[in-house]
Amino acid sequence: MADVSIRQIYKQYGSVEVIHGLDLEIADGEFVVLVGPSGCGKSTMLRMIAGLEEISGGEIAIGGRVVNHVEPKDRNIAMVFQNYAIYPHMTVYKNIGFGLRTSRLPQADKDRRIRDTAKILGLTDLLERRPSQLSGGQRQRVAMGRAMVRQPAVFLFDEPLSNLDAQLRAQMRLEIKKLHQAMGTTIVFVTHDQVEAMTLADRIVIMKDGYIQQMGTPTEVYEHPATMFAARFIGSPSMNMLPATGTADAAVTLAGGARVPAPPSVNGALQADQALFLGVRPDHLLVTEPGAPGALHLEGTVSVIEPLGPEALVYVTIGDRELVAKAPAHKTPEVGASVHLTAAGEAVHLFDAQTERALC
Amino acid sequence: MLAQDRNRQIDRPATHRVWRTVGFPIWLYLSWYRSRTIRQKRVVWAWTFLSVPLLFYVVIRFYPTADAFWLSLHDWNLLSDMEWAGMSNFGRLAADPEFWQVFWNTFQYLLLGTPISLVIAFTIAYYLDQVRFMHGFIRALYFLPFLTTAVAMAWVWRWFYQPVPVGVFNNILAELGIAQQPFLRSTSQALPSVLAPAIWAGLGFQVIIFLAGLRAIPQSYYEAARIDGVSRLTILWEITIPLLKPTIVFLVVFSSIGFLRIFDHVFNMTTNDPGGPLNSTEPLVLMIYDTAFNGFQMGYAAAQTVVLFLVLLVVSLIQLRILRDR
Repeated sequence: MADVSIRQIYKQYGSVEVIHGLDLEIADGEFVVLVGPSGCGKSTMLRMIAGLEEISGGEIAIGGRVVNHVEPKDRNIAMVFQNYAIYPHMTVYKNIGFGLRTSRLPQADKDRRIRDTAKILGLTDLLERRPSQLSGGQRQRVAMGRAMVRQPAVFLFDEPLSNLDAQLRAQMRLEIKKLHQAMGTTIVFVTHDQVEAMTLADRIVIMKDGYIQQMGTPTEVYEHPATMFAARFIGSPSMNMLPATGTADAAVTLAGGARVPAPPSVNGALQADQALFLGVRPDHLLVTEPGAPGALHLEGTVSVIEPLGPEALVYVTIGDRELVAKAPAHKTPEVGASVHLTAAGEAVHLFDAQTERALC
Repeated sequence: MLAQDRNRQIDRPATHRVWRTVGFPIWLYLSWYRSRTIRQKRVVWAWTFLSVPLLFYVVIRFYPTADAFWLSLHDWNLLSDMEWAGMSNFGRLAADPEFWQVFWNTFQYLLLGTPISLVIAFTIAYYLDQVRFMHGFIRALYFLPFLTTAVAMAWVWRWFYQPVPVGVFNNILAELGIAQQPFLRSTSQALPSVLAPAIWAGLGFQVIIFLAGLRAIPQSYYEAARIDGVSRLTILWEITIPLLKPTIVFLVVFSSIGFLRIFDHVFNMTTNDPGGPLNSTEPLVLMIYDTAFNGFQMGYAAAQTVVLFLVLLVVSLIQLRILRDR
């Protein structure tokens, strides 16, 4: 087991810099998820930790040892790839055992380790099968077995669930979380799926264009997004954004003229006539009767309804903008109806329009 | 008015005839076609397009092949009538020491040519795959001999094999103080000397196919192996080569057929005495050519082609069976 320290790390391909001096400390046993859209540098980060990519500047240390020029095999890491990288011409047993080829363990110990790993992953009955005879979820498990059998200090996962269907993905997500709880090994997990990030991570690192946008626990990044990007990226559907202007008395006025008192957390940061965006998550923007208690009140016309079972997403047009709100299933308005939307004061987020950073 | 009526009466049987002979069958076909299911319509179209090449192959390939089998049971010198000969052509072949010499030569081309060419082609492709600098240029360089005519190539190589001061190889040997070699003039060296340009000519194609096979192996297999820390040799033997198996099977069968049918290189490099010296380079196809178009023994030549056909069939089947995924 080990911690991972990433200090002022840079990556350049020719003259193009794709990672711009990132710092990240991963504690021993922590489950860190790097999340962001394609091309944000999350996979590059992971591959630099693995040693599959050279780093252009900075320092990576695993378990206190700087590994900048250490071969991948000597970093005491194991990696699970998006396409699993399990060899089609080898049986499950051989595939799992491949990770132990260079280990100096006696043959009997290797065999025991392979069988123990297979048992943990429920692969015991499949050891003599070829990958082509396995389902997607079973292949995924073999890939994890190959990593686990080496008993590494750090596990690296590169979008391991992307090739699975939605149901299997949810199931494997749960299994990975259980495995982490049982083994307590440090895990760095890369995904573009914010649901995976939220459900798995002890700590989420949101990346964009080679910069870290925000780091924090799933609750922190959900409740206190640091940037507009982080606010929109985490949570589904995305946070609604409305242009607003600051006033001198700790409030904002919306484009339509509505006045919203600023949440207490932004006290002092707000300036008069400051160009802002007001953000509110669909989960917190509710279809209500006029006059319901709340800080934010909006009026609009329903354009689309998406029923989700217990509740429904209500798309409401206000001026030239479309917002998403929620309504209980039994109180869903009609399409075309005029509705009143309300959000509580603490559900309102304010972002500076220039820097796109949250006011706090 | 009257004239028009008369014309119409005369025309009617004529249009009726056109309708009966052309229009009606078309109408019948169209109404039949319209009542087919989508699947059946697709089959109709597939066979419509397949019928042209099928007809071509039946006339140009399958019929002559069948005819060769028939011919092998006869004696015929192109001018005389065909005479039934039964299996006598095959008996004559089995008793002919020249045939067994040629048969062995043909297998030497196969047994030397296929493994040597594949090992060289794989080695080139394996390293070329790791090179980015001038990759396209180098690949084109290897492919160039494949585009060159065998005749031109054979004549250039003949010149390479000449004694000093003309031949390049003997000049190099002389520079190094090594004895002159007879190459094409020796019964033991002639066959490998003819084989060398044949291997060289096919190399470009094999390299391209190997490169395509190597490119198709996902990079993550190698990355996973790097993390597992296995040696380059282990990666080559246990990952690259097993994953290249479909490519290798294809090239083994394809190049084996090529070497079993070798002709133009031999013919052009030994024009003074085709297949010489002393039949030491003569392959089966050259013997067939000689028997048919110099000896005019068409039945005997056909018997030889039947043997070649069977050899190709058996060798290909054995290779496919051995190399098939178990």
